[in-house]
Order: sequence, then C-alpha cells, then structure tokens
Amino acid sequence: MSLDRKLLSISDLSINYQTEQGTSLAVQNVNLDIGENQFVAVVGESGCGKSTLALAIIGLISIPPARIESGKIGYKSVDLLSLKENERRKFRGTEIAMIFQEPLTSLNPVYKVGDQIAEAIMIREEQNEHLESAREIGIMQKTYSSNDLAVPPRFHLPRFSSSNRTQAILDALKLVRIPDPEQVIERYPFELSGGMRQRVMIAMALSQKPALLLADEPTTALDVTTQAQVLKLMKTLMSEVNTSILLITHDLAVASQVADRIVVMYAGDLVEDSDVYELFREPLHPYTKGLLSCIPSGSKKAKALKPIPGTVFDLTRPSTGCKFASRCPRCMDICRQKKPALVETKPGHRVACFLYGE
Amino acid sequence: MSPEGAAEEEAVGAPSPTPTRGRLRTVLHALRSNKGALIGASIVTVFVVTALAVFVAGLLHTRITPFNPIQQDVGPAFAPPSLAHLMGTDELGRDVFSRVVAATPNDVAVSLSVIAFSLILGALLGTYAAFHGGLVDEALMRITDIFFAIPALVLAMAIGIALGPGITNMAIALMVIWWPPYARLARGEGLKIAHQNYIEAARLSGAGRFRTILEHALPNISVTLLVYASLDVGTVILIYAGLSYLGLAVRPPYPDWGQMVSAYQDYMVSVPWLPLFPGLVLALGVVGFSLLGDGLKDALGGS
Amino acid sequence: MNTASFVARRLFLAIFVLIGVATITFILSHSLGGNPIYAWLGRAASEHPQLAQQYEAKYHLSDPIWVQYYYYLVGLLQGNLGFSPSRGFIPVTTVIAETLPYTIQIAFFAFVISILLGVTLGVVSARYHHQIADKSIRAFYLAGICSPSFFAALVLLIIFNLELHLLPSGGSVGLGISAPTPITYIPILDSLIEGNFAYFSSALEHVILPSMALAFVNFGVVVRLLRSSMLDVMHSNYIRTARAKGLKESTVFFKHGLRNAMIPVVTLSSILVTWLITGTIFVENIFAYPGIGQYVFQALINQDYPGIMATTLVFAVIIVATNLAADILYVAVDPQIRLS
Repeated sequence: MSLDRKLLSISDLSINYQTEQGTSLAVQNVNLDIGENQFVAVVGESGCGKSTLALAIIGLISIPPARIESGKIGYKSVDLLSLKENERRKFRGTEIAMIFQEPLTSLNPVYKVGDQIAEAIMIREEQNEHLESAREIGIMQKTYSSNDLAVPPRFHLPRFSSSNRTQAILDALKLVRIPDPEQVIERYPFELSGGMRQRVMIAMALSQKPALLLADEPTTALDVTTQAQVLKLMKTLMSEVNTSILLITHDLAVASQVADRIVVMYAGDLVEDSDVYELFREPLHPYTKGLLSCIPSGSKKAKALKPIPGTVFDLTRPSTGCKFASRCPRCMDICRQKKPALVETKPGHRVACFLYGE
Repeated sequence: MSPEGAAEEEAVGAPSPTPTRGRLRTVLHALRSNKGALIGASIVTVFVVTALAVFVAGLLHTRITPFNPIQQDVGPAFAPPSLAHLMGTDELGRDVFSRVVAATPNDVAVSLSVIAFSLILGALLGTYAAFHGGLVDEALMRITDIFFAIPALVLAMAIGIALGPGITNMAIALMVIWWPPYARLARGEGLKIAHQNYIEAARLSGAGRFRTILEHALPNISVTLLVYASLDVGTVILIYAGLSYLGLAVRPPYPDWGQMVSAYQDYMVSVPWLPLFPGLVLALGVVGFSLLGDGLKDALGGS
Repeated sequence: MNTASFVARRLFLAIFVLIGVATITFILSHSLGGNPIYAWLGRAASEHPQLAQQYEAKYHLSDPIWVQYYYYLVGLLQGNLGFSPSRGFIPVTTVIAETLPYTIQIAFFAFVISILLGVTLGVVSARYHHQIADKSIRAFYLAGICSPSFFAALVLLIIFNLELHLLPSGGSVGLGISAPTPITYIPILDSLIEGNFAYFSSALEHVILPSMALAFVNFGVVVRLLRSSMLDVMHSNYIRTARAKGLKESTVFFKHGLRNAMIPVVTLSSILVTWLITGTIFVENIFAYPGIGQYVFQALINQDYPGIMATTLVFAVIIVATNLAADILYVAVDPQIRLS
C-alpha cells in the first residue's frame, strides 16, 4: 500500500455553504490521500462534512449554494477542480462512482433494473473512446500509465454488442451475488428488497469499472443483517475488482468491520487518519476516543456508555482554536487560541491535536 | 385509565390547534412580501368594495355609477370610449361603464356565497364520512363520483332550466353542484388525522359525540380547504359568467357581465370594444382572485 | 390486484356512475314543471298529439314513478332520447350523431395544442424557474385560465378575422367544397384518408381559431402541473444517481426527469377533456361551428328540453369514458401501479 501510487490526492480543500443562517464552513483545509486498493472509511457525526467531501470528489455538489473556497482534488494527477463541467463529467461513473443511502429512491422507478445497468455500461463504452483520445492529447500524465500498474488496463475494453451487453449486465449482478440475475434484470426497483436494491446499485456502479467507489452511508437504511452482508460484499469486491472504496459513515463500528483505514472528521476538519487496527489499539484524538467509548461492546461486563458531552459545533460560527475545544476533556489553553495542524505522529497515523506536538 | 392519566395524555399528546392570532400574523406577513398576492389582493379589494358600494347604493335608492345603468340614450348609440363614457355606449345608448360597475355585485355575491356554502357543507359531510367510515363514507364517495361525471356548467345549466332563469336560481343550482370536491377534500384530510393522538385523546376525555370531534378536527383541516376555496372563487365566477352568457342569469335590461358579452357580440364587427370590456373585467376579476389564492397557498403551505 | 380486476372494477364504477347520471336527468326531466312529456317533446308537445300519445304509452307516464324510471332507463339503452323541437322534431340521437364529430374535431386539436404547448412551456418554466422566462410564461398562462372561453374566442376572432383577415370567422368548412365520404364519420379524418385535400385544408383553416380559443383557456393547467412535477422530479435521488453515472445533463433532464414528470399528465388529461368539451358550448357558438356545443346553446335558447337532457347525458358518457381510458393508460405508464 505505497502512497506514491496516489489515486486520489486532496490538498487543502475548503468548501462553504451559503445558508439563510450565514456561511457554513462545511469542509475546512482537508488533506487526504487514497491509494489503489484501499478501503478508507470517513467517520463522523451528521454535519461534519463527510458527505460534502464525497460529493465534491465526484463533482455533484450544487455550486450555488456551495462554494469551493480553495484546494485541489487530484485524481490520477489531474486536478478535477480545474476542469470544466463537460470534462469533469467524463470522470463520473467510469473513474469515480458513487452509491447513496436510499437505494429505493436512488433508482429510477420507471425503468427496469437491467436497463439502468445497461445505461451505465453504455456510458463506459462512450467514455472509453473519449479517454483514449484524452490520453493521446496528454491530459493524463505519463506518470500514471496503465503499464505500471498491477491492475488490468481500464481503457481497452471491447465494444459491446447487444448480447455482450446483456452478458455484462448479468456479470455485474453475479458479481454482487444476486440470485437469479436473469429474473432480476426484468424487475423494477420497487419489486426488490432493500438489500437487493443496494446490491443492484453497487453492481451498477461497478459495471462502469471505476477506480474509486464512493459509498455514502450505503447501509444506514438497511436492517442489521442485510447491513453486514452488504458490507462484507463490498470488502470482497474490492479485491476482485481492483477498486478503492471510500466509505462515508457515522458508525465507527461499521467502519471498523471493513475498512483498512479510518479517517475521522469533526465539524469540517479532518482530525485523525490512521490504519484501523492502530486506531482501535491507540486512538490519539480525544474525539476519536470519545467515539470509541460510545460503541456498545455487547459484553456483560461492559460499563455504561459514555456519550461525548456538549453539542455539535455550529458551522456558521468561525473559530479561532480547535473546534473540539469546548467538548474536549483534555483541552489546554493553546487549544482555544490556535488551530492544531495535522501531523504524522507515526508512519501512517496522522492527528490534529496539540497533545501530540505543534 | 385514571382521570389524571387521561388529562395528562391529553395535555401531552394533544397539539393544540395553533393560536389563531399568531398564525394570522405570519400569514399576513407572508402575503405582504409576495408581489403577486398583493396585486391580487388589491384587485379583489376593488371588486368587493365596488360590489358593496353598488349594493348599498341600491338599497339607499341612489347610485355610485356616473349614469343610470339601465337608462337609455344617455349618449349617442355606439359611442367610442371617451372621458364622459369610459367604456363607450351600447346599442341603446346606455353607458357601458355604469353597466359594468353595476353588475359587479352579481358575480361577487354569487361566487362568494357558492364557495361559502360548499365549504361549510363539504367540510361537514367530508369529516363526518371520514370519522364515521363504513357505509356513510362509501355513499359519499359514490355520490360525489356521479357529480364529477357531469361538467359543472352543464349540470348547472340543466338544473337551471328546471328551476327557471334568474340570479338566485343560478346561485342555488351552483350550490347544489359545487360542494362535492370540498367533501372529498375534507374526507381526505379527515382520514389523515382520524387516528392521530389528539383525536383519540379528545374522545377518551369524554368528547364522545361526533360534533365535538368535528370541532377538534375542523380547525386543522380548514387550512387545506381554505386554500382550495380561495383558488376556487375564480372558477365559480367563470362558470356563473358562462351561465349568464347563456342567458340563464340576470335578464336585460339589468346588466350582468356574461350576458352583456353575449348581447354585444352581435355588434362586434363595427364596435369590437363593446363585448370586450365586460369580458376584460371578468378576466381581471378572476385574475385577482387567482393571484390572491396562489399567494394564500404559498403563505399557508409554508407554515 | 392485477390489471384485469382493476379494469373490471373501474368499468363497474363507470356503469354505476352513468346510471347515477341518468337518474339525475330523470329527476330533472320530471321537474320541468308540468308534464314530463316536455322532457321528450319540449313545450310544444301539444302540437304533436300522436307522438305525445306514443310516449305516454311507451314510458308508462301514468304509472308510479319507479315504473317510469325503469322504462326511462330501458329507453336510454335503446337509444331513445326524445325528439328535438329546435331541429324540427328529428330524433335527438340523430342530431347528436350529426354534431358530435365536429366537436370531436375541435376538442382533439384543442387537446393536442394544450398538451404540446403546456408541456413545452412547463418544462421551460421548470428549467429556468424563478427567472424571467418562468415569470412571463406564468403571466401568459394566467391570462389564459382566467379568461372565460367566450372572451378568448371573441378576442381571437377579432384579431385574426376582423383585423388581420387571416382566418375564417365561422363554419366548419368553406362554401361549395364537397364533403368527404363517411369512413370514420369524422370529416377531417375522412378527407385526409380519401385524399380530398380541398376539404382538408379548408376544414383545417376553420378549426384553428376555435381550437386555439379552447386551448388558450385550458393549457395553463398543463403548464402548472408540469412545472411543479419537473421541479419535484429533478430534486429526487435517482436524478442524482443518473448524474453520478456520468450521463449528459440533457439525458438526465429528459430521459430520467421528464419521463417521470409526465406521469401525472395522464390523470390531468381527463380533467382537461372535461373543461374542453364544456368550453365548446361557447366557442362553437361564436364560430358557428356545427358541433354539440352549438346544439346545446341553441337548445337552451329554444327551450329544447330533450336536447338539453340528452346532451347532459352525452357529456357525462364522454367524461366517464375519458376517465376510464385515463385510468387504464395510467396503469400502462406507471409500472408501480401495474405490478403491485
């Protein structure tokens, strides 16, 4: 998992929202790198900016009322934020795909499931031609050519004839372990169960063979058993399909089951970023520790859950110090005066807290 | 449940209908900021005030119009619009502007009374059906289905000829056919709240009679009904104007907008403005009520 | 419930409603003051003693009211609607057969114009909502739906015929043009099938103004519906998914957005038809177009009670049929209803 093969490199990203109550600082100075074949979970409370971050990566935030104040989103060495919309669109689906929380409303109710997947596949066909020429023109830098990778090349797929396409759709459904795929492609979304629908969404997203899959709370609307199944599926798929996954969730327990790496966000700031085992073994940021103690452990000897005191930070109020200061049990004077920078205390473990150096 | 428990449940579970005075203020504020609603409100005010003025003047045996609306030869026949005769004169030398103004109470009174009647009857029937359920509900649905199958104008017309022409008969005919949509709407809203906590609470606290339940239910469905009603006034005006055009309402020499268009239509080739003036006033009235209704919908829908 | 039982249920309801309507016309016929025979022959019934006698026997007018009701319904099913005094005492059914095709012509064109204009302007309003295009479209359609149909008809007549001399002022077709042979019994259609282009073009010329008048006062409801429907749809989650797939915005807008937004238009169509055929009463009169609307108008003036009762029934039949068709079409268009 060497970080010189950076798939996604976000530097100093800040995004604001104009609301009736004022300007909400949704994402502030976020720096995040994701490599290939990584399963990264971004964890935080509602409103911490994790969804905004994901939508910004795929380019689906609505520009008014949102505004990208600063930063770059580097994807395969291309700064996505510098692209015009019609160029940006070409990265959606085939390079960066996204699945959402509510699978029922996220699928078009009047088209059959198979047709919707077919549409995704057809976009890939079109994009192939575009990306070929884009490479020729040199938009994609040579530092990241398909020859270097241990992954299969993404740009040389055969053109689909109709029967190939049906086969591709069936393959996509089989990939997500849907039973009876021949039946399912003739179904409408409302005819399937919640778990099946989410699998269909995953199938649809992966059928475009993206290098990065963003998943915004994909299991929150599902029951616990189905949740576990879908998460396990995603983990398995990652190695089968050579896609990196960025999972957005408020549930640290869920994240720990599948992610390789966990990124913790609070009120728009990235506060901790570490390997999953390391995070549970030695959480550094007081907020992370607070989150961990909120997880019910299910054992009889468990102590009472300790919620984090205080309420969520108001994003419309600008802050001078650390945003967690008012709720932090280890708050020091400097915390209220200056914002802590993100430092790497150990290789692969970053934290933004004055407890661990400047 | 103990009396204390029941009272507590009512106190906790019953969202009291929002205090009317506060709500009124928010609605008025919302209306004031809506340009369309303001235009609508001004038009409606003009129409209603004119209607009242003409009516009162009639009671007092005077008039507010520049000329007597039914008096002939106050000017040359077919005179074009001028300062003396703002809308010109008709074939009998009567002042058209006076006639148009004098006809205002007809449309305003008919539309407001039909709507008021339909609102009240529909609300009562609909909520009763919603709460009672069963056969009563089914009967209401089927009866309203039958009414919906015949266009309002046609049915009013058919009833009208049975009753005979005249403005009161037309108002009655319209009242007979206008209430079904309100009953359906009230029923729909009633069904939504029939099983909510505060209704159960009211019933438990001894309000066994349907009448009292209706008193609890009605304030909360009244918003939807009022919004619908405000948008509906314009439709009644149009249908009444149609009946008037067909000669079923006010008969000459007394003026009525629809009837005037029909009568003046024959002279369209030489004096095209003649049938257009009453028609324009009709359209303007409907526009006013529509804009106001839209504004009310936006104002009440938001809260 | 599957499609078959759904259709059966709606059909049953339709029949029930029609019987209800017939009951109303029965009651009205007996309220015409005096002899129920007026409902069949008009006030001049005394001038036709033979016919009057026939009717008294056939409808058992001396028997109790429920017997009369039964024979009334039977008579309706046999196509017996009385004789029309305003048209020389020919059977009312004949008059309706002669006039209905012309009303269908106007209503058809008015419907098509309303839908096309309404959908286009509704989509534009949604696309540019709260901007100038949206506001001007709103002003335009508001003027339309607030105008009485007779007013709109007069305005169009004055502009296009009296002032601009572009279109004819009345009638269904120019003078001296040979009529097409009846195939479908709808003259414009027959002339097209037959290749009788002289008739076709003249008939088209004559149908434009009345249809436009009707469309102008009705297209607003379509615009309103489509605008709000499009705005709702474009904020839904599946539109977000469609964009996330990398689709072009136009594809998202039309293939995913409009396709869903159009579904309520099916239900609206039946309401639209109701308003359109009501409007023909005025519009046909102003344009002297020989349809059912004009017949109703003349019947009113001439106290042709059989005509009025019969046309009330006919309008109800048309509306019930249209509602039924719309319900069935809706099932075809929305898979959720079809399969659940």
